[in-house]
Amino acid sequence: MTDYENYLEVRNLSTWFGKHAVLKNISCYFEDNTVTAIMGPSGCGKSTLLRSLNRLNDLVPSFRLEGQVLFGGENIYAPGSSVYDLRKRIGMVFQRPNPFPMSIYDNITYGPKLHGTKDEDELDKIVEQSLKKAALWDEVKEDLDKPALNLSGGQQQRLCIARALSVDPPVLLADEPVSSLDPASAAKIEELLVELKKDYTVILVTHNVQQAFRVSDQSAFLYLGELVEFDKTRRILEAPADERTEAFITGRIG
Amino acid sequence: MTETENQAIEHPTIEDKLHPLQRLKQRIKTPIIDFLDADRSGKTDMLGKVFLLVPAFASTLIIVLIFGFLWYESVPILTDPVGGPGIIISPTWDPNRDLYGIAIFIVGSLLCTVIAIGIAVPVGIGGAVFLSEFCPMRLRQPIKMITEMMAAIPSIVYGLWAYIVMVPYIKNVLAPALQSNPLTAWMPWFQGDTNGLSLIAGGVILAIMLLPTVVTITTDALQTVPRSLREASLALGATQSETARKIVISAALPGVGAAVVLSLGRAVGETMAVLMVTGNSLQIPYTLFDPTYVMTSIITNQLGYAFVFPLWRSALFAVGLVLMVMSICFTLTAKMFIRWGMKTRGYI
Repeated sequence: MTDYENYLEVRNLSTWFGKHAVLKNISCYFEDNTVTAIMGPSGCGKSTLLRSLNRLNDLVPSFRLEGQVLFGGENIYAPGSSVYDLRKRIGMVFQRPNPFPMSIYDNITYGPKLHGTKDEDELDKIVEQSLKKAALWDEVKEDLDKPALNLSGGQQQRLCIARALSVDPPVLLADEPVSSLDPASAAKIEELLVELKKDYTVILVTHNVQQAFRVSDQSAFLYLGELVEFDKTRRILEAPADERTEAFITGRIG
Repeated sequence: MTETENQAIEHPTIEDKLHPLQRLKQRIKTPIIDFLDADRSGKTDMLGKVFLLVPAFASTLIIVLIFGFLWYESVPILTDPVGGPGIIISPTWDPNRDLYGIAIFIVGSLLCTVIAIGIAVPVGIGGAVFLSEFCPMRLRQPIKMITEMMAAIPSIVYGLWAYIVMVPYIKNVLAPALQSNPLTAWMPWFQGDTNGLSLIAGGVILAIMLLPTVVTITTDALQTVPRSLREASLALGATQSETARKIVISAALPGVGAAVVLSLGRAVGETMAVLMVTGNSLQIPYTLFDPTYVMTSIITNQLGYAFVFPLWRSALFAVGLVLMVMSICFTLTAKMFIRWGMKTRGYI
């Protein structure tokens, strides 16, 4: 832990929506080039935890937060810290594919253009690289001008991954990215997430234990806003230390 | 005898065996039974189909009939040697000398519409973006309600207000200010003496009347843009304003387009308020402060006198015909534009 550039850490994080406490005193960390799965039954706060990492919860007026989220050693909630720079460095993929209603090309170049890339050749290069990383290039390289909404659901989700990668963020958040896809597309995206680990830190929200097992290196298990377990995925799934974790893994809660 | 007729005779239906009167009874009864059975699977709801066809057909028929009627009434002037289709480009309207050029009114209407749309659409979209994207929740509903109430004000009331407030303002404040300011004084469209009754007055009052339509329809359209699109844009590091401008408005284009279409139709056809503030002078306006005469005003003002003079009357109907064609053309162009926009976005 000498290199603090991308190292993302959550310290004593508690959050509220209005008076409703969602997360209770959570501490965990996400090392570079790993896949971390955030598991838990519905409503346990996994999405809230994920959205706290790129400050997307700030959009909700009643949202309140205590504790710290450190990114590269700095608290992202500190006054004066730029939320736009933060979100540029922490990409996000959502539960349902949500490509912008524009061409495939424009979907990818939207982010880079926002951050000042104007050169056509460079944009072309970004489009190609991002789509290749998202394993979509071969399928769409002829149709870059076509509307993104004409793609299939699985392709759209990979496009969204490519879009998130277009600004080259060191961290990628994924909020149940395959839950609305068919099994074949889901398998492809799971594979992709493992592949992306080489260059990115991936944080994946899932309620699917098998998926967490297949994809992740370490896991956090949340239950009713509490962090029950946080360790290597294999260790948690093979020998759960807490009975709530065991209940979730064996399908008794969830 | 053809083959089909042969088959019909070889396989007589139950109906054929019945007495004609019984057959008629059957004819009436079957659709009613079908109608009552319509919710059961495999039944066709003939009666329902017919009843729904009537309104669908009627609304199409009405526009055809109106068009035909306008055409029929305009034929005398369009075929008469003193008139002819040339009246569309002829600028002199003087029924006493049998001169029926309607170009003045076409130009007047077009300019008024352009000014009104030019003001109402950008301002309206701006207001809608504020309401939908930036306005605190608690303020949104009251503001929207007041805007919707604006649409319910009768146009004559707008006209009265404009006549008492806006026209004197243009005469006493706006025109002198623009004409004495060295920055704007040289501009050709700000020249000329004015009594306030002018092209700009007509355009602005129309714009004010269009605003509520543009704001409410656009706000509704912006609100239907899924939140996940906004989040996707924000998650890429966009500001709220960038998201609103580049994603939300673009994604809501069909709805925004619909707002423009509706307001176009209203702008071209609006009569009362415009008639009261444009001065109704038979000349082509060269500056914003010149008076003008729009198509709807000439019809309203002169139909009463013209009714006994066939050519005069026919010329007024020709104005109506041109008005209708113009308004249909605007709508169709806008619709084509919307369709194109929806295609490039992948909505259709």
